[in-house]
Amino acid sequence: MTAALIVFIILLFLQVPIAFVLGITTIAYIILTGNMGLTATAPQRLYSGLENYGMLAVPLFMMAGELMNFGGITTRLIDFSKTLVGHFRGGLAYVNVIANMLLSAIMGSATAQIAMMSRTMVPSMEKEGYSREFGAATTAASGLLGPIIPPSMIFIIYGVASGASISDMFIGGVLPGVVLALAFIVLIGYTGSKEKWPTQERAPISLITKSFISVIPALLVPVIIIAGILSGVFTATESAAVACVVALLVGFFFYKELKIKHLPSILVNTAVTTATITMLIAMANLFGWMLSFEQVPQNIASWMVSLTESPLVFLLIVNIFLLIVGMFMDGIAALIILVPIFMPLIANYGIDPVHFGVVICINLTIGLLTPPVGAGLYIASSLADVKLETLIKSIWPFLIASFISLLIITYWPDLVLWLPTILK
Amino acid sequence: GEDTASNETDGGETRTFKISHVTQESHVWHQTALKFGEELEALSDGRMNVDIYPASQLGQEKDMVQQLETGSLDFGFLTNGYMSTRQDSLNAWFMPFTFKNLEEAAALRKSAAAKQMLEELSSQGLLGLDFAFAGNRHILLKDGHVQSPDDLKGKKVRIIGSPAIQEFWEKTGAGPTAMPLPEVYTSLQTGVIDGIDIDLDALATEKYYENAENLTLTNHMTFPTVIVMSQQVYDSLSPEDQKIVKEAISKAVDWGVEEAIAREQKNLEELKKIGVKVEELKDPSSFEAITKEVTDKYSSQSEVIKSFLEEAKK
Amino acid sequence: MKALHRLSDWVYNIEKVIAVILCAAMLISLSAGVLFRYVLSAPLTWSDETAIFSLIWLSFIGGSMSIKRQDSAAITLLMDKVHGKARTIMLGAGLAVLLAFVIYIFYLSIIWLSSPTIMMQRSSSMGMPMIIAYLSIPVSFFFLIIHTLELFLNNFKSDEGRRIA
Ligand code: NA
Ligand code: NA
Repeated sequence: MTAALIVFIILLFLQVPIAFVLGITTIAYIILTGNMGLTATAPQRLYSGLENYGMLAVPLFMMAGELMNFGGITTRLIDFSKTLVGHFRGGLAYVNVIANMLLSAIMGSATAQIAMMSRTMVPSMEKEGYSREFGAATTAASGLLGPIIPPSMIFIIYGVASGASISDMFIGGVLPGVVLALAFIVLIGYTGSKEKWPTQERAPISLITKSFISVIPALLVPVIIIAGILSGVFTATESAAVACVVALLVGFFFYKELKIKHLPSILVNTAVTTATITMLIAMANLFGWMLSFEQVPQNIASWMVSLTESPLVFLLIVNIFLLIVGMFMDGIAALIILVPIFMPLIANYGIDPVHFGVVICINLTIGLLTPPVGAGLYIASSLADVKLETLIKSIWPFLIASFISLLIITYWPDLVLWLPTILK
Repeated sequence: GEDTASNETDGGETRTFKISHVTQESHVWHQTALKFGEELEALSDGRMNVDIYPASQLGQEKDMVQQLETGSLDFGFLTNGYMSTRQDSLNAWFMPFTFKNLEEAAALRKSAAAKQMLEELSSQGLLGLDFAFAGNRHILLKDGHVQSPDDLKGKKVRIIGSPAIQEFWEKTGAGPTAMPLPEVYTSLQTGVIDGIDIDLDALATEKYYENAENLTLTNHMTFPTVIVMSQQVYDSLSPEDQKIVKEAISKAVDWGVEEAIAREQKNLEELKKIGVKVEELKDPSSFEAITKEVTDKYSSQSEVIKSFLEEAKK
Repeated sequence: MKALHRLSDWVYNIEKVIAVILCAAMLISLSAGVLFRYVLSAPLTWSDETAIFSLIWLSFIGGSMSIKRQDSAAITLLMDKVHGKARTIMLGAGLAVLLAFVIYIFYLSIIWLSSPTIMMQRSSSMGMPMIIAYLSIPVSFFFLIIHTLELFLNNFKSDEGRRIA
């Protein structure tokens, strides 16, 4: 195991893509233990790691994001929020959070959302006098709302892995999303008054009306999705495909900004960004299979259980454990490995699977922004053109705000469980 | 595997087998696997025991089969749904309205045709040991009960994606869809689907009755698991140990079948208590024409299925 | 070297066409699934499976493309600080391990698909031979070998080396 860990770290620092580092480590481990019969089954294991219906939402929500960017939907959502809150001190920073909340009602993935917003929000914040790294940090942090406010890819993956109701997970994510957004808003307010940020003129009613009218077709996307899911026209996974179709129609016919010639590059981008995630999932599956074959997670889990009998302390240990895991591993990959191990444990502690799911999904989502392994950090730093090290410096206040929110959500289960119960 | 699991003790060599299956630990198949472990340990004076990997921990069923072929997994409980995509004769278990209840279905595991099915598995490097059962399948609908195929017309029903099951369902006039299990609860809630084809154990544990409350006891099909051993591993055992393995599995499955029957009864009572509206399919003869079409087709394709159906009629 | 470079570009162009087709197939089959089930009350039996098989092909082909585009997530923390010969050697070492890995998986997948039981396997809803889906692995890992080999040789051409992230 130690040798495998060393291989893992060396390859990581030699800039080998993370997905492949996981695969290579697994093969190296199998060879080191001399259990060669297992290598023969490796290709099939790679394959079946992806044969998962819930995973279909990954590429389709990415595609929906690209279509909305090209079709002028994203800019209109931002413009509309700007007319509403642009006149506050730090208005555009709030706009960033609010626009991300709106987007979150459509998008299911933080990485897709951070990619989308870094291109649009960061330049416009810089134009208004904010520093580039603060813009990028605000965008990356607000992008975390993507998978917490439904729909949500990571919630779907948790539901698939744990058997917890996906619809309860979705509804359970709403209030925690609001808590997180409020935490960011408080942080921005504090930073703004400390650093004496500029303000904008309040938008006249006429402008608000104009902007609202132009945003109506853009709002069709979330409205159709929410109405469609609630009325039983389609499933949460299928909603990703419907989102693409609606975004296509709105971009083509309402805003007329989307052109046929954009489609090939949208689809190619979708393929590559999808693969960076799904390849990671396939390789993580291989890695996780090696771990479960050796019963490593079972041992870690039973060790964790031996530490305490109190569910509250257990949740704290899990959170700390996952924050450490999230520093080094992709969240979705970690989820797939860990959920089957945690499920029997939480039953022993009497912890609700939906509450537990929301907590660990938020925890692992925060991991997207913790160095050294954080896909969200890389995306924001490359798309907003900010050096990784400076971005990390400006993002830590947001990380602290996120941790505090996570603790509140962990120790106040009703924040998650109340909405699903009253909607039943 | 042999390299990882053998070690010396003062009583001689002990051997730990890896068993994998797709269900949760509460499921009767897991309990049967546990029972098998106990029997094995008792019969071998502690020389042989098992490690169980539930809930697809070592991969999906296609991975399990591959690991069995290469001998890195020793035993597998594989659903008949999956195995029938690899071996046609197993569709025998999915012939509609063949068994009036679970007892009848379970009794057929000792039939000559069932033994033939297990033998055929050897072409895949698998030693077929036995069949165990989860429960017969019934129909849960959001609206109404089922007394004839007309009651199913136009209803969107979630089924297990397997050609024989699908064929039966298409002929009823319903719209069958092989939606993945994790989507079912929500889809039933929002009305994406109108009902499901399900056994009582799954109905009780997955709480689908929260979203649809009309249960018709149709017994239209059964749903076994095929218990297999890696041929490679089996061949590496002494004749004496081979005998112990077979005896232990047979004892465990005998117990498991009784347990499944008892659980079906218990689940039914519990579901009634919760308020699920239960009705029995009074006259299955309205399904006769459909049933005949399916069984004729499959018995003309496979001698094993034909003789299985004949034995079932006795 | 030039021939390899051209081959790699040519493969990438094929991958782009495949990716566009697969994305479209995924979107169309799932949307058709909704349409047939909700509007026509006649659920399609092939829509989910088609979408999943497209996704799997897309993942592996896209994975190969991301290596060609040097687009996949990697840690640049250390390599950003190293320059000159040391950088070339270290990046080269990483690429060599990557190359060995993709060749090995390619080799394993060929053995896997030549096993006699492969042809017995059919998909559960469409009854499609599973080998059509399984082929995504050898095909994309073959493409990966070409792209990785090109990156590896290219790395030693200029002293600065190229990023693989
Ligand atoms: Na969302
Ligand atoms: Na991280």
